[in-house]
Amino acid sequence: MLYEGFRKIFWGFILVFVEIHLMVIDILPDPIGYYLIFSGIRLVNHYFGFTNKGKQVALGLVFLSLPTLFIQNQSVIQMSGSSIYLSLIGIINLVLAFYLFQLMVSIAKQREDDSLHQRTTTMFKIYMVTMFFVTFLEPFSINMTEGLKMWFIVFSAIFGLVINIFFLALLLKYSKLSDGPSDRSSYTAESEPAIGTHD
Amino acid sequence: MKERFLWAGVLIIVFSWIGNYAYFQSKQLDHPIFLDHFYEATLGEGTSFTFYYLTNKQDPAVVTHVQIDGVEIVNVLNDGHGIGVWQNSSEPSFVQEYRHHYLKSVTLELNEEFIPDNQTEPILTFETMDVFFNDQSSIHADVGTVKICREDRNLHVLDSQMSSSSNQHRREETLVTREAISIDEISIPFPEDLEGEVAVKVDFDQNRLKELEKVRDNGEIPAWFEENIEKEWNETTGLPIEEKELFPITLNENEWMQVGMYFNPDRTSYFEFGIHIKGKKSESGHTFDQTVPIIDHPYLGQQDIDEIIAEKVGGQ
Repeated sequence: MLYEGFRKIFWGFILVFVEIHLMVIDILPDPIGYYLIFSGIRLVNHYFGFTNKGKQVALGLVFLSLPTLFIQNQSVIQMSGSSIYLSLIGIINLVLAFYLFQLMVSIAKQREDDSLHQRTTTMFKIYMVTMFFVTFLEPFSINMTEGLKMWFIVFSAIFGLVINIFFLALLLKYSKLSDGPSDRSSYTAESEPAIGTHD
Repeated sequence: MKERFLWAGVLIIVFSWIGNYAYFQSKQLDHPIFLDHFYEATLGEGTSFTFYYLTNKQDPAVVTHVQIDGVEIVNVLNDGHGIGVWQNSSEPSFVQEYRHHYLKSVTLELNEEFIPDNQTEPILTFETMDVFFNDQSSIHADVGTVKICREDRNLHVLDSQMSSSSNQHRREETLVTREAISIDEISIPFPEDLEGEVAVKVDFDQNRLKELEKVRDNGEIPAWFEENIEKEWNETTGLPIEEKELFPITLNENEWMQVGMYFNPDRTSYFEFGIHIKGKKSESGHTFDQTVPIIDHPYLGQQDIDEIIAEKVGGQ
């Protein structure tokens, strides 16, 4: 169950992060990605008896992200309706990631897996602080000179990409946890080094 | 991590948006701003001028037509940066890009049929233009001063020999007389507007200047000629044209004069005019008014742009 829930969340984020536009339509549609995330969180919530709010946020994003099917998420940052909309989606994504981290922290706690708990909380802080700065600085780009704006876009894209790869790797790790807290000792010994190569 | 940190972060991000958006809006121009141009041109086939203006980067303006004194005596040749290739592109064409604005140019061609035939010089002077943009808006723009004159080829008494200019807003020109003349005055046009913006020195030292004759026969350019333009303005040879005891001065046929020009490097206006040399032909007594052409455009940085906007928007 755990495996399936986090695998859905993982693939959901892949759909959200990767954009391939054929003609004008995104062939990896974000709403489907958010739906996968929603149903993944629902599974995990149900299994552990959690009430993680990420479920509602993901469901909201299923509908809110419908226009992204037709908007090219270019890094051309300028003042327009679509850029404000995309930033709004970005902020809600941050909220969604926050709840997912909370979900992962609760699971690690429940499994009494200290190393996983440690890794998740560290990643939680790094992710939120980095993404906060990237999202906070983004609107400054509309007032930047061309040269500075270019550097900003390049750096924020690299930071965003790297941090989200770490985030995906963590989701993948959770998706490979075996069900039930009983066999946690065997899991940590085996899978820790293997997962490490993903980072 | 506590949930209240999340909401505090989201709130800060929203404020960042509001703040940046408000700043961005405050920098937007209500309408394009034309810079100052001091242009003099002679009427001829295809006489054209390029005017420079500032427009918002967001939705930049494009000039569609221009009226002067309510008459369309100019055709818009192109709005943008010269070459036709740019016009078909969907990207806005601009001369220079600033934080919130583009510096754009529009080239206007004089429509000769609207110019009255028999008029005394200058045929046309204007300081404002009614400019119409592609978004149906229009402005009554101050553009500096533009003078259009009729050329008089018969009174060409000086031949330009050598000229050099530097990127330090300097220019040197040497001229040789075709016949004996007397020069009564050397003057800078637009005296009220250009006071302190242009300085001119003249030198009639025949002994020195005659060395330049060697250059005609593929000789070396004397070192002093090139050194002069590198010198500080007050150390260069020649006397300022304001020295009234200089004039009138008589030159025989085939005699030399050197004109040095210096433009205020901090100015923000565009120069395309001539230094006027006025006098009489010694033999016939006919008056002449010949010009030494100047083309000097300012380099404008972000700070210049901010100051121009503050001045032009504030002054209205």
